[in-house]
Amino acid sequence: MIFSIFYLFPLLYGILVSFTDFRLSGIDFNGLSNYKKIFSNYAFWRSLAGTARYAVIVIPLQMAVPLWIANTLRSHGNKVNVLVKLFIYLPNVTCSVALVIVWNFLFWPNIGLFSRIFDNLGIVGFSFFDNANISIPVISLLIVFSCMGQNVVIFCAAINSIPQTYYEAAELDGAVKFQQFRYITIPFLSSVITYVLVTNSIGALQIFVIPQLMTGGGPNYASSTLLMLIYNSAFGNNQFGYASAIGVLLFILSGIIAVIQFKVTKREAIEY
Amino acid sequence: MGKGGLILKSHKKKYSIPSTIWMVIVVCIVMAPLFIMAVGAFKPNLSLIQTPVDLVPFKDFTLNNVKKVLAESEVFLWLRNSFILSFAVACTTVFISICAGYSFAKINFRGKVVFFSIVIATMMMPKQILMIPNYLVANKLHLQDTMVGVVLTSIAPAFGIFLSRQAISSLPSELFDAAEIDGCGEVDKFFRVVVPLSIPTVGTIGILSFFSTFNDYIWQTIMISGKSLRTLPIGMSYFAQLQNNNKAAQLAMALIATVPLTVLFVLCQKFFIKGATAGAVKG
Repeated sequence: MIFSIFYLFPLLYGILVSFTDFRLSGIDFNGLSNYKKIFSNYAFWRSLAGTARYAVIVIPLQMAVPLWIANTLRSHGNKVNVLVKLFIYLPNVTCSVALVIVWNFLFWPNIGLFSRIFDNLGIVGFSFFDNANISIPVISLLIVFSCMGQNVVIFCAAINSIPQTYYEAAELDGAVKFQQFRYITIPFLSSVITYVLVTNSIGALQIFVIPQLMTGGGPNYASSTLLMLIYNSAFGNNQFGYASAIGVLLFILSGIIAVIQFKVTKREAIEY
Repeated sequence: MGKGGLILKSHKKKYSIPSTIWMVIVVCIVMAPLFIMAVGAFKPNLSLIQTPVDLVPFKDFTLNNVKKVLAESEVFLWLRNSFILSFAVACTTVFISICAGYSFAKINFRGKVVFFSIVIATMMMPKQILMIPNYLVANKLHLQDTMVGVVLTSIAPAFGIFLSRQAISSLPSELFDAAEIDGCGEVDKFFRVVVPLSIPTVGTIGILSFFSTFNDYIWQTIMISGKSLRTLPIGMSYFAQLQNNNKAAQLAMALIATVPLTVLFVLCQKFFIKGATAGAVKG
């Protein structure tokens, strides 16, 4: 009970700080000027666009690939199921710093494995990190492949709870695999899909560790995300008020997205 | 729910070969970083930076990288710190979750619905938004750069409360009535009835919060600046910067950091599946 206060207090305190010029040395109220500063700031718009670009790639892939893997697993035996889930989940429990070390080994400019392969193909000096048009898709793919496990497990559990009889009836009626997927699996899973969509969208707004360690948001905020901007302006530049203001905006944004998605995808739950 | 009609049983295991092949490819991509980590950690650095790269397992096998990591970094200190931190966070989270879950499930008090919806709302809310206020409070209380401070600020039991409420409300109320008739007070009831019956939930919450704390990089870099408190993620990224050109040593470091958690994960797999599906799938 009392516990919720510990959550509410930081939230309100954060909103309060966003209206101030907070440096660790002192505090001054400055009204809305943090917000004005945000909307006139290049870095903010770049980071917002960056966040959107990561999200546009990460969310659909993170939904589609696990859904399809779970659907494939449906017709496999128990052993295959356990093994595939184990393998796919493994990167989820690996520390992302450890994964970044490997990816840096692959993608680092000049000495990275892929950079050297490109060198050999005659594309000299190719860099994954200089150009956001390349670094954002690459990092998004890495995020998708390392965070997929959770969704696979969720979708598998949901698909296994669909009564087998529906599939048998469909098979008797001559429905091919794709039709079974489209007209049985998808409708049954709609509530689970909504749940995963909402949690993954909120997750996508919080992409941080992997781009921070790989590109640091560069060049010139092109591959930065909002959370990276918050982190860097608060703990890099000691602008806590400004960072809090971005935090408040991010909070509002994720709230709006969650509400919209619940409204749009809300359908009658199927009883069985 | 029928397990499938007898006549069609033979059709049940029919799977399509192309999508199975695709699935195997996806699994290979997902496992590729871990494979590179495991192979590269036992290679001389030269085989990794030469062109074409040599990633054949067990060729030029060497333990030098591992020795180097053990000699030149404080990896055991980092591991110890991470374990202490994660263990403390897991224990506290479990305790808070079970207490709160019990009261939300079985005790009536004013504003119960409101409080519970607040807890659920915090589950949906990005934790990172609280980053700055939490840091400022910790800074004021001089908890920054102390183990207690990191533990206290890493506790995030909303999901645990949700999970344990689900589990405890499915326990029959008659049990609690019986305990009351036998003369149990609230505290006795909690420790003798609720806790023993929710051991699986305790396991799930504990394991999940252990892992999320262990792998949490961002909050720990904010809170920890001293050398003696460095946890594994921080130490690892520090070591990687230090050994920028020695890829093999970096991979060995990553491997050493990954192995304990992987073993733990394989042992506790079922808790993960339970935790992942708890919020999403009904029944």
